[in-house]
Amino acid sequence: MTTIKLRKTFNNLHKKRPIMPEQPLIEFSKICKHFGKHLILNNLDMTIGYKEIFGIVGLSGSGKTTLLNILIGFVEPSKGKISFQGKDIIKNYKDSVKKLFGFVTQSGSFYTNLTVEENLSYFGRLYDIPKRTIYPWVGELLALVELEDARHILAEHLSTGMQRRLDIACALIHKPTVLVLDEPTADLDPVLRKEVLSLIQRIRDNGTTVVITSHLLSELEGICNKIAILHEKQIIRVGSPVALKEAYTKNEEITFSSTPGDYKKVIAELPKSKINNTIIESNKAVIYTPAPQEMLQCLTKALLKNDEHLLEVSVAKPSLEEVFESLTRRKGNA
Amino acid sequence: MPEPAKRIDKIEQGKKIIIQSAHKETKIGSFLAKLASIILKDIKLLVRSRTSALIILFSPLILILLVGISFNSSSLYNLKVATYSEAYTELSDSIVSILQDEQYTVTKVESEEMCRAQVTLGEAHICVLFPPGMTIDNSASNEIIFFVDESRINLASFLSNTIISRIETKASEVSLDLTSNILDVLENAKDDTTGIKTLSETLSSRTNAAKTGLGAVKTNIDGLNLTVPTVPYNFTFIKEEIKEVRTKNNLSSSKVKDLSEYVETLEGEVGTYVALINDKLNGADGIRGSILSSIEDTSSSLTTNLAQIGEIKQALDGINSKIGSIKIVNAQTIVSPITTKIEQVSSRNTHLSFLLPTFLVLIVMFISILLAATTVIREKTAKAYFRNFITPTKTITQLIGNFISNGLVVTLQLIILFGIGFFFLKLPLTISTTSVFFILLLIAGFFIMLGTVIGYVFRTEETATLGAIGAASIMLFFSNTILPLETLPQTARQIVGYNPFVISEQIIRRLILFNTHISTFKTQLLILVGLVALFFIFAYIAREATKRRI
Repeated sequence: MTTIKLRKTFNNLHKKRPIMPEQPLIEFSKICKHFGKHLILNNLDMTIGYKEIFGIVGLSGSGKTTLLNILIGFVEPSKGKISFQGKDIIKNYKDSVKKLFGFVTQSGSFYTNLTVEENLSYFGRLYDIPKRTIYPWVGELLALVELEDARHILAEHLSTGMQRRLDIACALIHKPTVLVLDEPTADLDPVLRKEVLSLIQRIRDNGTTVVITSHLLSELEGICNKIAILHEKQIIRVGSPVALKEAYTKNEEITFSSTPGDYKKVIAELPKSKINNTIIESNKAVIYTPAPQEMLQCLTKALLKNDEHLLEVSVAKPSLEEVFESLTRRKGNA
Repeated sequence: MPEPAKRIDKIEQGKKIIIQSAHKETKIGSFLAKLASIILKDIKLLVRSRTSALIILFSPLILILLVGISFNSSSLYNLKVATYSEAYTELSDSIVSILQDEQYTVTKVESEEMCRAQVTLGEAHICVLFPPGMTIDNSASNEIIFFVDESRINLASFLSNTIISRIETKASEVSLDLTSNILDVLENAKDDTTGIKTLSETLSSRTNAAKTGLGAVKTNIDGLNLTVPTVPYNFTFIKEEIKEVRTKNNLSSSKVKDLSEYVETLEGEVGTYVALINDKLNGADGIRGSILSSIEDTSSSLTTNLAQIGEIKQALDGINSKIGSIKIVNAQTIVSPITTKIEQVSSRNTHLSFLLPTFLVLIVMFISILLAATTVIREKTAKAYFRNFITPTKTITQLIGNFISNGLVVTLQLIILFGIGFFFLKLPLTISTTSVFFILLLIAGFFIMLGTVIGYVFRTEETATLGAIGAASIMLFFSNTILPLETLPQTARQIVGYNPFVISEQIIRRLILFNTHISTFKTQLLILVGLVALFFIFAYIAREATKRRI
């Protein structure tokens, strides 16, 4: 019953801001950001579709938060353009644009000395929601984030998970078209993480486009329609989790270690046409290959030729996490 | 993006809940709604912080009670005076006893050094050195020396003035005695001259009488003729006759002879006597001449005397006239021909009355600055700070909201302050009270904006508090509260004249103590309003700058 009501509300919301689904919702075009001489984002291009859950994955400090801050208009890009349904929102950054986005910060952004309801009504008023409609809407929202019973509790007395949900509710108070979440599951235990992710899915199901960042690809795998991997100031890969995995699960991963461990020499003996990627570490080397059997034979020969004594070898399919790791490492090694 | 005009968000239980597009609300309506929301939020946050609530409600209450109880008198209490003299006299002891009768505790110490040390060690507030053998004497200098701790600027001058005034009272008493004595002597002298004048008048009349008598004597003596005509006595005829008679009558010759001899003797005796009388008369005439000469001299002397008596009389008249011309014959008037009395412009005379304006501005300044700085720091460090920036709420709205919230808190505190002042300390409620209240709010407005700027400039509550106290202290130091502004050089004084604390204190003092009309302060009020506006701009810039730190 609640879900139906919410759908109605959210649908109505989108009546308010009619969206053309065939057109990309948000487009990043050649976005650059400098903080002084320090370059954070470099010529970043990205497209987010309507009603998507769009994940942005990157290592800590890769510029995910800066990217989100640019998106919501809090930080101005040094260069580039962001379009919302084809309209440049940076040049025309107005209150109406602010209302398009709801933002959930890493640490939460609400008043701990106000109750749940007071927080929501306060931010609702700042988003110009009329007083007479705000309380029914707060009720619906609390139902959505499952905080009805905590309505009159001071935010500081809420548990971590409840606080995270309150933050999400604060971000949704003005019924934004896009909900932007900056690592919403950071510091949460697996149970709470699951709860939050489930909530995000419910929000998307109600028609809100979600942009979410994380440094954990695995947690986005189950909920995102599309994932962008942000690394070294750029988006290095964008695709659905399946597509990304497909792209990298064509290969299998041969991990080996040998002594004395001159892995470069060994890999140089292998047929390059069968190798998609390699990672060399101090005590082991990883080879991504579509022909693992053949590669194993070649590897045995190369080891013998180079007087390398094999200590350990394993063959496995890579996880999405490992795809991310390999991509970011490869870039790092390149 | 197209904006819906008005739509029905949902229909629930047959009741229409209409959500109007925010953009359909007027801008002013939206602004006011946001403002109300911000104010409500600020006040809730402030009240829910227990320490803040305690400070808000109890700090002015405690302050006004403490100040009211402490300063609601016009006395100085338990002032310690150290005195030293090599030889105390009745006069110096009488001064000491005067001081003892007042609110001072007087200690006689054994040496000048000890007396000074008492002040430097803080055991006495003032050291008084009496000259040895202090008496009222033509040769005595009677210089009393004071030593005060000048580092206690406000007390030192107050104390020395008070003690000097006490000693001056004693000096006046002594002077009054001396002058009374002189006046008594003059009065006696005046009486004496009157007596002498009477005597001289008597003397003059008697001398005049003597002179007149002498004139009469002179006239009488002048009239005395001692000239003797020559007596033609001729005894020859008698002898011829005798001879003829004898001849004719044939008389015996012895008888005739005897007669002739007798005539002869008589003629000799008469001649002798005539000569003697002539001599005597000649002598008397000589004496008469001498007497006349003496009378002439005496008369001349008497004339001179009369003239001198006249002069004496005239001199006495002059002295009398001069003594009589002394119009001020009151010793008190002569000792203090001009009396000074410092009348207060205001009828109030307790320390609290004079302290109240400074006290009010001081409270408003510290509370406003600290409150605003703390509020901003709490807002900045609150988790929600970021969200405020991403809402479609302008910085101006936020600043005005915070400004009003703080203003309301200060208003509440002022109400408490005034309430306690009127009901418990019985401070008089005058027409200017309303003006004072509203001007205090304007003053609070400036300090709130200053505190807001400080709050945005500093990053932590500790540094912001230090900054706020520092700013308030600078304003306090460069005001009349500690040292008079007249101690500053001209240029510095002109600059300090724009110190909001100085402006505020001047306005409030004149309003409270002299009931000056508010219209007198147009310029000062304009300066304050200008400063509020200026610091509002600073606060705006500072708040925008904090975005970078989020």
